Amino acid sequence: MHITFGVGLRKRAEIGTYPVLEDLEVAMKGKRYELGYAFRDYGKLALSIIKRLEECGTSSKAPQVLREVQDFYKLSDLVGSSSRAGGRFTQWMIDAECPKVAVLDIKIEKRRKKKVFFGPKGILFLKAASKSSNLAQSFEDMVILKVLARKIKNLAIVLSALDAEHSVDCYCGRVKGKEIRHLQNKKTRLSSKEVLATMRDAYLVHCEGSHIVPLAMSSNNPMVISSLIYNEAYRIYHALRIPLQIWINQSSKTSLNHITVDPYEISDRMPREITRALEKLGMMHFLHGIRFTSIPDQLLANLVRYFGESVSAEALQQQRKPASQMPLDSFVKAIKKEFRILINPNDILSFLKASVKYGNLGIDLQIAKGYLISDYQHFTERLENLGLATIRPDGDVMIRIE
Amino acid sequence: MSSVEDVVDSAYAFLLVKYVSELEGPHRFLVLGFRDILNDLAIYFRSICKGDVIIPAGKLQEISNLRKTLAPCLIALDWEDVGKYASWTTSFKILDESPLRTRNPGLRDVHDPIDVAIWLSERSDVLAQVVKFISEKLSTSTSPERFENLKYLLAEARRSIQRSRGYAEWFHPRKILEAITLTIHRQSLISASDKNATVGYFLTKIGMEPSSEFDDVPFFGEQAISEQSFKKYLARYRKILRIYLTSPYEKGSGRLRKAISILGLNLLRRLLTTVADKEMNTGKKGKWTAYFVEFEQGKRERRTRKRKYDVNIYGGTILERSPVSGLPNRIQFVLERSKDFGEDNILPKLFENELNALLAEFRKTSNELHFDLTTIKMLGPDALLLELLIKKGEHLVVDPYVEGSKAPIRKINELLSKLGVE
Repeated sequence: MHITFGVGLRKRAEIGTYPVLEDLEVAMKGKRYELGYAFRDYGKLALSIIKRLEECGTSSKAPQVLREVQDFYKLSDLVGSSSRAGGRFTQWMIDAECPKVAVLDIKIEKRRKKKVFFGPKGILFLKAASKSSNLAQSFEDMVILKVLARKIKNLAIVLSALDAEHSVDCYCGRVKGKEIRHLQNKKTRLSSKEVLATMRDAYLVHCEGSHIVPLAMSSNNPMVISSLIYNEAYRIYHALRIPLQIWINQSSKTSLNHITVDPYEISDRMPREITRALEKLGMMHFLHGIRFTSIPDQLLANLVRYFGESVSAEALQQQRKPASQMPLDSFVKAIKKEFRILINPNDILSFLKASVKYGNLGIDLQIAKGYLISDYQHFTERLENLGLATIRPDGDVMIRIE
Repeated sequence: MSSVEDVVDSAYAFLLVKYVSELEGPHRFLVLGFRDILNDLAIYFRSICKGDVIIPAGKLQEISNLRKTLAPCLIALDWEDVGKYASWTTSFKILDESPLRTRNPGLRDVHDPIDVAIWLSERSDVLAQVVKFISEKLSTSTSPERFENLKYLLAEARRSIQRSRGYAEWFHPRKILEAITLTIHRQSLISASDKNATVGYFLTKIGMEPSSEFDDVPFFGEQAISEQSFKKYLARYRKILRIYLTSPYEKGSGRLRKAISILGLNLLRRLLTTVADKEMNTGKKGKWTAYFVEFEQGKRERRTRKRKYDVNIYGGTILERSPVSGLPNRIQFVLERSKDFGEDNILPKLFENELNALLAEFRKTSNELHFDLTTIKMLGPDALLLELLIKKGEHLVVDPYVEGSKAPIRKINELLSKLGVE
């Protein structure tokens, strides 16, 4: 396992030109797991996807629902708001990220020309979105959530590898700028101690939160657990970057071409973009000074619809009659697996036990368990209130599948 | 002597059965959760309420039999199984392991651990029984007899729980019992005169970092902390958690990374101010006064509000957290010098030896130093990486967080005007 990173030059009026860390990637067993993000402004993602398909002439092969999205945008096209559609970040989302999560499928044809098709996950997302009142928005949210989930999974892979290996080699792969060319292929070493991995895995912890009147915010409160886990993931990103940035600063000093070194410009752009994406999805909540992750109503409805679609698709494949109800547990498991969000108290507890040094975060599992159960009960109540689940006379909570 | 954990389990079961036995009869309960203390519950329920713990198999016959009798019983269900027995909830009272967030007025006969904590805080006779029970289980020779400190703590706990009935994790009865057990256990290990089983020790065991004023007060001793000081501490403690534990990690105002950097800066300013003040009181201006004046430069610059020496919030990182509460206790931060204020630079001097000298000088004035500052390296001519370690003996105290949340502005201004610096 090794980490590769790029170095670019940045200019600032008072300081001059200085080197900064760029694209961080981890290579392991022949695969690459990048830790880069560009969630800043993805514009009208659904519209951009349609445009991309049209460019390649493959939009006719996409499912019917896509045409509905197209119609949905016609009106706004007239108003001219489509100008925001094709930004740099949207392009990144479509070309680099959507194929990786099977929303789109890119095939390279003759003369290195790329042709874009609609992917299997994309079809499921579209079908699910078509049942919501705001189909374009629902589709976009699901795509972004899926891309985010992949990033969190990448972090988990890095963390488990760091935990196993104690130290890791870091190579400077790409260098942009003559002044720092000597950095190309140079090597440094990062010890896991520097990164101080309190976690060996990465998930988001869902917490209902909004009904809680927080009295004493000890670490056993689900809101605090959720916030600590998110903060810890953020901190590790930051800790990964600091030693590398310091190394870059020191190594570029030896350059013959004099460039100014900004010694502590340690950008936190990357993880901050994740926060911003989560805020955009309405998943980041800020209450009583605590920031925690919670799935909002709209997104929860989308997730249930997507779950319904995937269950029905699976049933069709096996030539079974699609079920009209599924147990809550299978829904929660699907969210855990596909979107890396933990909801069930048992999952949260086993995650804390297995992959987090929870003692360091001040968590007492025996006490936390009771509060997590209360929180889960409110989650099921919310599902019922939203009409997404029914509680059977025998008490089992069942997810409704439209 | 049984292990501490076993003692806590049986004490918790004992307390729950005591609570149940004082409720109106018949003592027929659905017990949701409490899997790990089920055996102990069975033992004490049999001896106190003369009933049995039943783990239902889910057969129809069994249910109707249970409904027909009036014999006391505890029917144990796991929290996930509750749904299967939904109709039972109307026939029995409920003892729920998970604390309920809001009281549902329709469900009067539901009891949770926080109810038990409130009840315990009102009953000093039960408190005495529980303490005696624990001492016996631990087979210590004498049982503590003075509970003033424990009563203050529980009374304050009750007040805050009643003010807004919600989450009250620190005052979870299991936590309280665990802390009592550990404190008695510790006291039994060392001689009674020794001050190790203190209020501070108790607080760390319920998951709170103590303030230094409680740290030397024996928990079961004659000396008692004042109720007011505990109240003040509790309000302060919540604020500290809000700033240093749960706020987000990104840059931006009031965020965690900025807060920890400024904590370091403020503590450094406090050290310099105290030492310079002492030096000036001896009548002559010396090295520390010069450092103080140099370090405080630029703070009155109205236009930019820029200081000559300030922290760079990009560089703040948490290296370690306290295992008790999760508060950061090992922090690195970057102190940098702005070039707008002339050529002098004390950062290299601080890096060499002057920071150690400063700490040594401060220790001469007062013993109350609950943190340590060390220099790590110079990141450049104008940037110094420092490490802050907040620790006193085996556990930390919250005093540095309190002191570091605000700079001693009044004192600084007073000294500067004495020195005639504008």
